[in-house]
Amino acid sequence: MRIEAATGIKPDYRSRSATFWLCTGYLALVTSAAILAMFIAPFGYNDQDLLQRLKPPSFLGGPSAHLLGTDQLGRDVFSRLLFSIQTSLAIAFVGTIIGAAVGTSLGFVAAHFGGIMDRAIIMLIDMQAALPFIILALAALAIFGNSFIVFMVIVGIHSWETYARLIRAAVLSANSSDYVTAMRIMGASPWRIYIRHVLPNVAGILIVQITLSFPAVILLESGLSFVGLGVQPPSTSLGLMIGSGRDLLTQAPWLALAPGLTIFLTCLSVSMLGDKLGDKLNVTLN
Amino acid sequence: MNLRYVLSRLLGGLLTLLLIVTLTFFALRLSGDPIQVLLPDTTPQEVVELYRERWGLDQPLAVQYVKYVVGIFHGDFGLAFSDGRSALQVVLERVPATAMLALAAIAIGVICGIGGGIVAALNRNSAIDRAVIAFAVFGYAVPNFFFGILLILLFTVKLGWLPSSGSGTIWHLIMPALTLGLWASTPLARITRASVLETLGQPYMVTVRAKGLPYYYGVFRHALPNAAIPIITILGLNFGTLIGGAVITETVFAWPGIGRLTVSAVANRELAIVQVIVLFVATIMVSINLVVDLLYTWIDPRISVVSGRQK
Amino acid sequence: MTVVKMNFPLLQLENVGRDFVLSAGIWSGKSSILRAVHQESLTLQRGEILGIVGESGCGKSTLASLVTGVREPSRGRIFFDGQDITHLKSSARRASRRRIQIVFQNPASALNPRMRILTQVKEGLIVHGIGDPAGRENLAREALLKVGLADEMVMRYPHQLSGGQQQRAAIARAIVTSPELIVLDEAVSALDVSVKAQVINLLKHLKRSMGLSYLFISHDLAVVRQLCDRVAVMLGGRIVELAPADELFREPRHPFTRTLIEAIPHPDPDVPFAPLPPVIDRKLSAERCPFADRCTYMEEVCAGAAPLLSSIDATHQIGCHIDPFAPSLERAAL
Repeated sequence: MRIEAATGIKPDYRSRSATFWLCTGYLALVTSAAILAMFIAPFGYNDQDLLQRLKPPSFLGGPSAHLLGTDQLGRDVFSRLLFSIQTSLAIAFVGTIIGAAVGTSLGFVAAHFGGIMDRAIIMLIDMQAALPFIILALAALAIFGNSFIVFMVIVGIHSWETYARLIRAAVLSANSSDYVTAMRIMGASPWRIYIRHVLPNVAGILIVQITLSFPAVILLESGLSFVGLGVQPPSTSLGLMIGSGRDLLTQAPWLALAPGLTIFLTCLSVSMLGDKLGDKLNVTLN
Repeated sequence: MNLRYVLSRLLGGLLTLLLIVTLTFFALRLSGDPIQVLLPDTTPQEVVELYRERWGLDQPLAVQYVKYVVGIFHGDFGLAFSDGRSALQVVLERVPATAMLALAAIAIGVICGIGGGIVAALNRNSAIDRAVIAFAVFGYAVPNFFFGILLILLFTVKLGWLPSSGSGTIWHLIMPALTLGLWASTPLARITRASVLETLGQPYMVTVRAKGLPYYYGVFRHALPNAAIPIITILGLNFGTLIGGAVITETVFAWPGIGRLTVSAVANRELAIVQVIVLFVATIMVSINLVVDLLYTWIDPRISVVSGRQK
Repeated sequence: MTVVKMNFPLLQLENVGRDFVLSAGIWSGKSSILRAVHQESLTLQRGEILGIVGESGCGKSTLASLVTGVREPSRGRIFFDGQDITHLKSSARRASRRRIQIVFQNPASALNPRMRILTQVKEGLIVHGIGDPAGRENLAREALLKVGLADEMVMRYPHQLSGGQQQRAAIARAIVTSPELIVLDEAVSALDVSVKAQVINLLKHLKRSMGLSYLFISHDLAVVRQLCDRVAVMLGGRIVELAPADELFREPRHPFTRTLIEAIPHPDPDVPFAPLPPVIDRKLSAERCPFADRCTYMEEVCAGAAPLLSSIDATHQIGCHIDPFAPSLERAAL
């Protein structure tokens, strides 16, 4: 109350915090749905019931057993959605971690060794920037074939070059800072300097970048699955659901709408939280 | 000085392309017998022999590499599985459709993105401004194929105005171009708004107003040219995103362009076609980056001096 | 044992120099060599404060980085307490590193922004394996107390302290390992005038109570005069004059030193000196006197070769061919 009176930013203050809780709440909901999918789902994701094909969601007059209706094989859309969230979030999560780990390591290597190593990594970064990632991913899928592992790795190295560039720059600037020089004069080992002094100072950048690339990884995964080059049936993912729902838009729009809205809200929440986190970290950095 | 800068940029671009060609070469060799992955099973034996010799498959790797690079300069990438035609030809046939889609999308993206960004910045904190911001935030989170599906639901299923897929008439172009263009315009809108807002606050803008010149004269004469640099950067980067987006968008609307060709080529593991596409896209991207770099020096004379690294 | 050690100067530089290769760009292939420090010799006695003054870019900070081991010299040798530390590697170097510490100009960037003051001061003790956790805590608090940072300050982060307090924390970090030599690289230049005086007094006090020696690098002659025992004046990577502080300020002999000292009574001590020509060597002028282009007393010999540093009496050395300010008797005798 007092803060609002003093600063006069009452509406802004309120709405910000509301957005924050909405995003956090939604993400908590989606994450627990993903983790608990096999316990919550009323049906198996491949259980077919040919008598119950293309039923609309129960709130649109469909059968009460199928909250979000059924698809062309009579499978429960709600159950499939839960398992799709599980697959898509798992891929996005592991993928983001792979990308962050690969990019961060390369950034550190480039900054630490400098010289030829640095030049080579910068060249790779430039090359990656010259090619849209999806083309590269598709080429890799064509060469190596589509297995789950290959797909995971391909989705994972997405945006490695952003991490590498950011971390390289941050490490270089931290390395040339007086406090790191002071530690070096003190006789601290490079490992100690990196872990105790450099890493905490680049962690903020890393976290914000992770929140930026997590939605991008979800979009990449669902895009590839949508065109049939990602997750393969009988597994299911959000992109795959939209892809198979696309052909039935006229009869059963809910097949594409449910997973599409899920992706949209997830990406929106993560990136909005990331924005806030970025603001917050910048404030304490200064 | 300027020529030297252009040449060094050109050389850098060519180097990137050569690197990509080299990677493609090794990836192909890694994936097994190039004859098997680049020529269809139905290729007559004498044609196979011709290619075996042309690519020097019985010779050392270094010779194979040189032959490969030379072959690529002659447009020799292998044959398409489906009908045994040259892979290059198959890809080039699809270029016009994608070019048409891309041009329409860029037009929409520039008008909505840059236009929206400028209008938002000039009317800061108005309803228009908020709408543009919301548009930019939402645009980042909506998968473009889902956006395409929403358009189909509205214009085909609900209103029945537009065909949902295929090509041939201008009506077929509208939804794919909207999908791709609006999707590409969101980062443009965000950057343009921020960039224009920043220049509006500069002292020279204050001077313009202090001199009593009309506000919009100042905006068009001073603020916008100075806001152009970051906008052009994003525009250049956007091209890559656009091409990536075309892969998905063309599939949604069954648009017969390179994107859809890529998807089917990958699904059928037609490496000959895939490598043509990779090199094609890389060439376009490198050229665009070059053009963007040169545009910088044209817009901002200071940059060539800095980048020329003259002593 | 300490008696034996006292025979050596604490720090001795023998013909030490450092070059940097400047490349003009990836495509040009041309590169030039920047001779940041030429081939200089210098001695610092135990308990002494040796000042190094000069314009920015004269090589004084490079000299500091050579002494602290951040960079290796391109030529010459560095002795610390009689031991050759020029090319010592990691573990052997660590022992000497405990004994040489540094305080930088900008306290805000010299402290890790994400670590509490106390933790940062403890780092040096951990690196050198001094004491157990409780002992380190005590030693660190003690060091912080010595620089005047009381209990409630030590748990703060750098941005929660004022500039003067930050610099005190940086000094605490330098003294916590009980070093013998501290390199003060423009250590008070960034501080406000009143804070500057306090920190100078603190440095004087610490020197006496802890038996420290300072290599005091500064462009601020007023402070150098106040603090230093001896002063070396640097120009273009060379030492051009070396003398006891009072003598140097009373009777500067090198034309450059004279120019510097005449510039002191300026109301703002941070006003930059006359612009320095680029230090990048050109083939023709590589060996000229570094002051030749600005010296009013310049003669032909100055354009040909840089003068060597030579003694004019027991404690005073200058590097000048002309020596225009020599007492008139000597000049007459010549």
